[in-house]
Amino acid sequence: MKKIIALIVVALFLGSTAFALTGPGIGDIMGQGKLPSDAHKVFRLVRYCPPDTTDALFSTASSLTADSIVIWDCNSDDGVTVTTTTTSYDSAVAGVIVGTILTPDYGTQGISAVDAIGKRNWGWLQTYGLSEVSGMTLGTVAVKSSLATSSQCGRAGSFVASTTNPVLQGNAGFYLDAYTAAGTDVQVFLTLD
Amino acid sequence: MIAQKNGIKDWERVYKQAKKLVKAGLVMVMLLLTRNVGADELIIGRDCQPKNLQIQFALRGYQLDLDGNDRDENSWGFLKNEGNQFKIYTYKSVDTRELAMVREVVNGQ
Repeated sequence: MKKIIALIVVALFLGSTAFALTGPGIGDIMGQGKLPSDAHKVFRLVRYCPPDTTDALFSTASSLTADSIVIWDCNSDDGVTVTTTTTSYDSAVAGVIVGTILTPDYGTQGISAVDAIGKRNWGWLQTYGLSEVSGMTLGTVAVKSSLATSSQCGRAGSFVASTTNPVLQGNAGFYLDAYTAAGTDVQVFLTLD
Repeated sequence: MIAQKNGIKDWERVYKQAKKLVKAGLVMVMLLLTRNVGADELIIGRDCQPKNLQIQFALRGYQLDLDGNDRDENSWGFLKNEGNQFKIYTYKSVDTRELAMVREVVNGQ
């Protein structure tokens, strides 16, 4: 009997090990799919430019804080530069910043990312997977609501598709947490990549 | 009667041993699962010199392979060069310290 129990336990160990070896991160990471159940994130190295690039504002703009939701910068037009917006549901939504990004060096900022390689205003943007955002200072968001930019710079709101304006179709993912006013570290799942 | 009592004792002993084994098994499975965290993908939208990157990562204590098939027990991730951009696939979730390290290395290229 002991032998039978020991054999069952050994079989359980082997089975669980085999399961673990085929999971994400241990083996076939290229083919792990992109389902919400996968613990898998995509980050992009991006350049930050404040929304208004006039010199006066450039020198006084503040750093981009972690958990800010940002959009692709349509002035730099390079697919690498991000900026903030005060437009709700902005279609150019890019993702969520995962660590503070400094402002550009005053007076040394070029127009596109090529001119600014190696400068201090580079950081990581998360475009896919479990993440956290800062919520709007007003209002509430229910769990499973769609995620979008809001009228408050860097803060996320819920998304409701515009039926008339194609510029306001920016759905970045969905909320895994509900939050009330000024929620911080609100869990979301990004689906932009 | 005595034989029956001994039989019951044997069963109790087997049952206790089985419980211990199951507990140990659960602990082992949990340990395996904690290692089984998600891999991440870091996309860097510019070209690079892969061998230089590999050296810079090695200097900071991270083994970056230039092909997924080069993986060994010390590998941290591997690099995929796509010409106008490159991707780093890690074998476990990256933390903020590692993200800062990659940024520093890439910015120094």
